[in-house]
Amino acid sequence: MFSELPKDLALISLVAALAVTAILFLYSLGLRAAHMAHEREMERLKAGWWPVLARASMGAREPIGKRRRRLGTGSRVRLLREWCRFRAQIRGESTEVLEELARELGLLGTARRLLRKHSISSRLLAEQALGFLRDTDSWMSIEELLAHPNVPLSIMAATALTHIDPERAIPIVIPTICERKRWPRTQIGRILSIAGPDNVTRPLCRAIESADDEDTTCLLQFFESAYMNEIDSLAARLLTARTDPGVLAAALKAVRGHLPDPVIRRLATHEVWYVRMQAANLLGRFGRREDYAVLEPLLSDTEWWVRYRAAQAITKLPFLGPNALRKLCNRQTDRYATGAMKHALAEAGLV
Amino acid sequence: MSPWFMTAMEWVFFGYFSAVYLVYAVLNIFAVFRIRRYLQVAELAAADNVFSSLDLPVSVIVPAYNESASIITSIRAMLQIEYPDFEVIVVNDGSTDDTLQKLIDEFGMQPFPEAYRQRVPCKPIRGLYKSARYPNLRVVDKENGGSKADALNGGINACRYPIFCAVDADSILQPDSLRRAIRPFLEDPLTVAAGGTVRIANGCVVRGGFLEKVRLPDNFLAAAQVVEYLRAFLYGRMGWTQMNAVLIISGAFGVFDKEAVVKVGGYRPDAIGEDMELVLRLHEIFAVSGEPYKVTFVPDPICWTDAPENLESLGKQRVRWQHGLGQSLTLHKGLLFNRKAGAVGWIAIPFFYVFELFGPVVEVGGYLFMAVAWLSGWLPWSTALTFFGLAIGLGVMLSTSALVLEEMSFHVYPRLGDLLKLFGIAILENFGYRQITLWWRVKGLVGWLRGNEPEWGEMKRSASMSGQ
Repeated sequence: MFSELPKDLALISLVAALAVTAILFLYSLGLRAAHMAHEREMERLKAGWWPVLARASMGAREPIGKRRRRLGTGSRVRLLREWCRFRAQIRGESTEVLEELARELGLLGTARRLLRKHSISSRLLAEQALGFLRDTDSWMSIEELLAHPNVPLSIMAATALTHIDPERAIPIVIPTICERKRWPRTQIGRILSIAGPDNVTRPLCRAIESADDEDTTCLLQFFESAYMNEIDSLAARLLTARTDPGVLAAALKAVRGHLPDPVIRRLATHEVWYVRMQAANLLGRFGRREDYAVLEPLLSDTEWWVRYRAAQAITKLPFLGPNALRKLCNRQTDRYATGAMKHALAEAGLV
Repeated sequence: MSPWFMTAMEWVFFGYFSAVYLVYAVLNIFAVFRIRRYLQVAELAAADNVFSSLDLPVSVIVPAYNESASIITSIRAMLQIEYPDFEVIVVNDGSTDDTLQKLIDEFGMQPFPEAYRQRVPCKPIRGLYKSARYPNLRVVDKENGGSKADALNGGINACRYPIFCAVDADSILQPDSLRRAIRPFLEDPLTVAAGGTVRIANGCVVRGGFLEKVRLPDNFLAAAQVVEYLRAFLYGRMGWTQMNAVLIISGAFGVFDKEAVVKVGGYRPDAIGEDMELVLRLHEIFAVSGEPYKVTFVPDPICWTDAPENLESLGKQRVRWQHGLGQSLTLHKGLLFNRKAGAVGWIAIPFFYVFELFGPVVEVGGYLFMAVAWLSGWLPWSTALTFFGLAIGLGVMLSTSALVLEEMSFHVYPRLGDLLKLFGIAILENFGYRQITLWWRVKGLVGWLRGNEPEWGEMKRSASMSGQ
C-alpha cells in the first residue's frame, strides 16, 4: 500500500498538470484571439475617427451626427483613449474644438462613468479625460483620488485638478508634494508647468517658507516653475536663516542674484561638500572678480566634485582669458588642483 | 532493493517536484498581479514622454573586450537612445584587437585630460578619450583586468551621473529602453537597482544596431532559450520583485544607483557571475544595516541579446552560470536565514540553494535512479514512466504559464504561428534540451565545488547579429 501511494499521487499530479497545461494553452489562444480582435477594432476605429480627431485638433469642426449613434460602449472607451492622445499633444485654441467634439460624442459621460469603476486603468483614463475636459462637476471625486495610495492614480488626480482649475488646485497640490514622497519629481514638474508661474509662485514660496528643512529641500527642486525674482529673494533669505546642508545646497542652486560676501565665504568653506560644490557653481554664474579669491582654494578641496565645479567656475570667469587660465593651471602646486583645471580647460576647448 | 527504500525515494522525488513547482506557482501568481498592475499604468506612462530638467541623467557603461566587429554599430545605436540627458562610456578593457582604434577613427575620439578619480577598484587607466563629434561619448582605455567586472568598475569611476546603466557591447537596446528602465528610480527613491527583461535576438531582423522585426529563431537551441528566458524573466524575476527579493539583474542590461554601488565597493573583479554577486552584496549591506532599499524589475522587453546556437558554447555558458551561482551564494552566505534579510534571506536564498544550485543534482539523480531501478526490475515501468511524465508535464505546464503571461502582456511575437511554435518548443525542450542543460549545471556545480576555473570560450554570433 505504501509503495503505491507516491505513484498514485504522481499520476494524479501528472493528469492535473496536463489538464492545467491544456487550459493555459487554450487560454493563451483565447488571449491572442482577443488581442487580434482588439487590434482589428482599433484599426477600424482609427480609420474612422483619426481623421476627425486630427481635423478637430487643427480647429476644424464637422458634423458627426450619424457616426455618434454607431458607437458602442467599448468603442466609446477606446475612442476616449484616442481622444486623450490627441488632446495631450495640442495646446491653444484648438483644444476647444476637440473638447466640444468630445462632449458631442458623449465622451464626458463615458469618462465620468469610468471614474466610478474599480479598475485603476479605467480611473486613470477618466482622470486624464476629465482634466482635459475641465469638468468642474468631477472636482470632488478627483480630489478624493489625490489621497489614493496608488501613485499613478494620485498624481493623475493632481494633473487633472490642475487642468480643471490651476488657481484652486496648486494650493492643494503643493502640500501634497511633501506628503507623497514617491511622486516622481518629473511629473510634479509637469503639473507645475501646466499651472504656470502665475499660479505657482505664491503658493510655492509660502509653502517653502513655512516648511521644515526636509520639505523645503524637496520643494526648492521645483524653483524653475516659479518667477525667478521671487524665488531668488526667498533663496537668499533661506541662505542666511537656515543651517541645514540640504536646504543650503538647494537654495544655492535656486539663487540667481548676488549674495553678501560673508554669506558666500561661509558657504564656500562649509563643512558639507555639496554645499561647497553649489557655492562654487554659484560663483561661476556670478563671474565677479572678487570671487576669484574664494574659488581658487576650492581647486584643492578634498572632494572631487568641488574641485571640478570650482575649475569650471574659474574657466567661466569673464576677466580671465585663455592665457591667464593656462598660467593659473601651471602655477598650481597641488596635483588635484592641476588635474581639475586641466579637465575644465579641456572641456572649454582651451588645451 | 528494499521496497521501503524504493518508496522513500519515490516520496523524495515527489516531494521535491511538489515543492519546486509550488514555489513556481506562487511566483507565477505574484507575476500575474505585478504585470497587470504595471500594464495598467504603462500605456499612460508611455504617452507621457515629455522630458524635463528633472529627469535623472544616466551614464551608459559599455565594457568592450575585443569587440572590433560590432562595437561601432552598437555605440551608434546607443547614441540614438531617446533620453534627454545621458552619456555613453565605452570601457576598452585592454582589447588586443583594434577596438580602440575603430572607436577613435569612427567617433573622432581625442585624448582628454580628465581628472579621473578611482572610487571602486580596477586596473590602471591608460587613457581617457572624448568624442569631438558626440559630446556625450567618452572612452576609458584601461589595462585588461581579466573580467567584465573590472571593466565596469573603470566605467563607474569615470561616469558623471547618479544613475548608471551597465550594458553588454553586443546588447541590442530599443530607443525607449532607458526611459522605461529609469522609471523605477523616478517612482521610488529607495530603488538602488533595476533589471530589465532580456529577450533572445536570434532570428530577429536587426539593422543599424536596432531591432527591426521580431521573429523566432529557426535554430532549436536558440528557440528553447526563448522559452527559457520567458520563464526566467516574466515570472521568475517579476515574482521575486513582489517580495523585494530579486537576486539577479542580468549583466546584459541593469540600471543602478551609482552611490549605492560605490558604497558596497563596486563590482567584484574575481566574481564569475559579477551581476548576481553585486545584487547579493547590495541586499546584504543594505538589509543588514537596516537601510531601506529596493531592487526591482521592469517587465518590458528592453534589451535583446544573442543566444548560443551550438552545444559547445551553450554548455560553457551554463557551466559558468552554475559556477557563478555557487560562488555568489556562498560569498553571501551571511544572508541565509539572516533575521534582517527578510524575504531575501528566508525565501529567495534558500530557494536558490535548494532548487537552483543543488536542484539539478536531485533531478539528474532522479532520472538516473528511475532508469536504473526500472532496468534492474526494482521499479515497475509504469511507476518510472509516471514519474518521468510528471517531471515533463510540470515542465510543460510551467513554460505554458510563461506563454500566458506573455500573451497577457507584451505580445512580442506577433504571429499566431509564433505562439503555436513556442508551445511546441515548450513541449519539445523537455526531451533532451532540459536534460542536457541539467547535466551542464551539475558539471558547473561539481567544478565549483572542486574549485575549477570555468571556461569562457568564443561565442559564434547568430545570423541576426552578424548580418546586421
